[in-house]
Amino acid sequence: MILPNTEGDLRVRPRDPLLLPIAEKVEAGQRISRGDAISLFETDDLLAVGGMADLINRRLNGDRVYYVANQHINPTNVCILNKVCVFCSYGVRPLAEDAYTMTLDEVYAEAEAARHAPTREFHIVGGLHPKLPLSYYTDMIRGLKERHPTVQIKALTAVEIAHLARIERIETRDVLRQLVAAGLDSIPGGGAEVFSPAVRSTIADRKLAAEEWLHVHREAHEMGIPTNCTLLYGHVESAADRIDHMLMLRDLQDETGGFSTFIPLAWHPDNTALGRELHMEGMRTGGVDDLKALAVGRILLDNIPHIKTHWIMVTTRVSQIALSFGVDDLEGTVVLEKITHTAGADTPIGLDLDEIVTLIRDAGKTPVERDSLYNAVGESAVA
Amino acid sequence: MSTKMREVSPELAPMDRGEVAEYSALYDRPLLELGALAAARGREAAPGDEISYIVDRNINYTNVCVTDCSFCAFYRRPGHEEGYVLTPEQIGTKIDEAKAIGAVQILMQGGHNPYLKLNYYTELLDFIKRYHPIHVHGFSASELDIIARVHKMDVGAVISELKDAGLDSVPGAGAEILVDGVRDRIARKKIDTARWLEIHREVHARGLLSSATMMFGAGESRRDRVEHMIRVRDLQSETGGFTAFIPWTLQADGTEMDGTPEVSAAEYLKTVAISRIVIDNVRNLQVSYVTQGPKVAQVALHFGCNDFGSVMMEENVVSAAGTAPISGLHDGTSGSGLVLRVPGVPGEEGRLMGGRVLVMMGSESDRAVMQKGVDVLAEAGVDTEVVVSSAHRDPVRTADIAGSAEENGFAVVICGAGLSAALPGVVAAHTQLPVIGVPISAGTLGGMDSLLSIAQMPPGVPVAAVGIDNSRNAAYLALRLLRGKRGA
Repeated sequence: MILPNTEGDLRVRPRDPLLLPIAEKVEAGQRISRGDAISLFETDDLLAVGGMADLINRRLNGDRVYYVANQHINPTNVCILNKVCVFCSYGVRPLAEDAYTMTLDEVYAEAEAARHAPTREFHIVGGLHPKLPLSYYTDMIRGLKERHPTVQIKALTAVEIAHLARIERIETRDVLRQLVAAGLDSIPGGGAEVFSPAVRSTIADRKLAAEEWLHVHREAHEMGIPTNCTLLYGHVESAADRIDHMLMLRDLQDETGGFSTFIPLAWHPDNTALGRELHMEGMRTGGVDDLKALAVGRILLDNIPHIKTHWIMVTTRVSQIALSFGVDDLEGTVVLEKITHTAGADTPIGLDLDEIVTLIRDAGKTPVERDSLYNAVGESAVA
Repeated sequence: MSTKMREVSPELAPMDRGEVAEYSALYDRPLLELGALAAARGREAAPGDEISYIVDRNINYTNVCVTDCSFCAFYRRPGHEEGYVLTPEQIGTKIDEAKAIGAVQILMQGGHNPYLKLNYYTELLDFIKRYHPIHVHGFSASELDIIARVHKMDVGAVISELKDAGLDSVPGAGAEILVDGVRDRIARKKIDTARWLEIHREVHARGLLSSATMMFGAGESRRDRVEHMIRVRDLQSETGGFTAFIPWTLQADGTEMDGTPEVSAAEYLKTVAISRIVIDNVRNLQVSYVTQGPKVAQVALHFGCNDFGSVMMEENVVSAAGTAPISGLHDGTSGSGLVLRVPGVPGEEGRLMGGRVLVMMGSESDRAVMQKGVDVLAEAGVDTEVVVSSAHRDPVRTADIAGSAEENGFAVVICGAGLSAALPGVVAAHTQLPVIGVPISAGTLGGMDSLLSIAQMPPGVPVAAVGIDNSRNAAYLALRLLRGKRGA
């Protein structure tokens, strides 16, 4: 049996004829259109979609797969949007039985886990607390930086930043300025959900609108703060909604170049009002859908350097397969994941670095340990 | 005993080393490339986009076993207090429960129990075919071997007797890795490669079809797996009797092999893809969602697999080694027509048993009768809640419970009541859910009063009545109603 040598080339020829012109564009390094992207979601030729994403990824990242030793910290689950964001099981009312808000000392105590671990990044997100002032966060960031000067801080989604601006009665730009002055290194991509006004009014009515979300990220990019972007999929959105969402991200990226990574997030319906209403509790996105969201993201978002699979949401097994479908970032160690696990995730709450390295090697890729800003660190930096 | 058996095993055909090397080298190819090659082969072997599946029940008739396989968490040695052998009647009950939710087959396998004689098997098959008729896919090669050895019979004669008693087809279990070096390490006392192949040859020769499995991830090499595939392919060229090849990965938790590194998802997909490429003459290639999880199983349908296997009601052997039960998947907008054609699994599994069942009774004294129905529901994996509330003594509470049953996620209400038996009717008046009434034999009229009372409902407020004290039938009817919700 003789197999073609397809290194540096498409590894899969499309079987679906509708994909042929798209594959040609991808091979030629041209941008694909909205209609092309719809075809990519609609086809059942999964491997051809994966093949295109894989080619683009190999051109950008070779065989490298990035991972980060990080720790998630969620300072509060109190959220004024707890009734609004019906897809979420994490946010609760201030007086709810299971409401919690960590004191700064509690945050520092939890962060002590980093003392004996190779942690490079704190990922800090939480609910929109009605009372916590901006100073709570700036003090937290300063305190963490003092205690862990080598750990970078990726904190507060655009939604939290806009909320702080509102309760402090200042501009979002000023919130960003104060956060950076305290030591913030980058901003996570959460809170984007799906930009479509129809979908947003169904799953997160009155949450920060698309334009405002993009506005905060534009400001961050203008100030030189790298950010990520996300898409929450697997609920009521259509393929067109997903694509329009990604196109809005692509447009902003053309303008600013400030996004590092696109991260599709698989919705978990358990213990959510939306899950109950849709009778979807206990259900999960399909593995095929998980791979498509990642692969189409890689093909469409040709100007964003990295695509990350969130193993907490799609399982480590699907994440490993995703490394052949255009993905070059395997998230990190996480240490203690809370948010998706309140919505029924049955994945681990954290992984060891060894496990991540093994997953990547078994997929035939080269693991590269990174920091928040995609600098190679540790042994990866030496090599 | 195993040494003696090996003396009579026929010689294995020599392996073509070049072929083994060539196929083993496929593991070095990129995953997507292998997937595309396997998917193309899959479309040749089984044309069309259809993905097959079967609704069946796995019945393990005994867990007593003398083979001591190091990868198995299910077996108990003879004399162990947890050892069991099911009676034909117990098996008949399990078959009826399975049929109530649409099963068309039972997969019947057990330990290698030398205390069971051939007549246990033939009488069991005869009993099933007479009183609980269903397709019996049963008794893997190593079980057939132990029956033959216990009776010092030719295995072909054993197969003929079982076939005459009603056996329909033979599962492909016990193949593990068909390379004796590997078998000696993980299943020393199990039949060797030649014997496994010989028994399947005999099965096919006597007009029965079988499947072939491969358990990998037990420390064997990639070459060992390829040798296994070639052995299966070569026997298939000879007999044509294999319906499906079923590769699955070792679940080591709780076994002597606990701690063996798990086969990664990428390695699993490569192995199924290479199976499809090597074994081009067996029509069906089955995914293993029990060991891989539903997400990876779905993806495997794009790597040459065309069969989702069994939507199992009961799975004792692998779950004894710590695998999670199936959870539902939904397909979002991926447009993968493939999986939408797999009712029962992604998307619909969550709805298969989508509703809970509320079991109500008027008095604590009804509990013993109602418990039989509750047991049926529990065994079928249906979430059930039991409430005691009298229509006469506690009318407001009863109405509240009935009125909120639907919003509390219940899909069917079963009410047991004796004497005037007002409970089912009162509940039916307060809910739109289907209500099943179980008349209970209390008082001087022996339940006739309740039966007539339950049946006599005005138009628009229906209650389905089952026989006196027959809460089991109420449960079976509830299962049918739930099954009707499938795909709704």
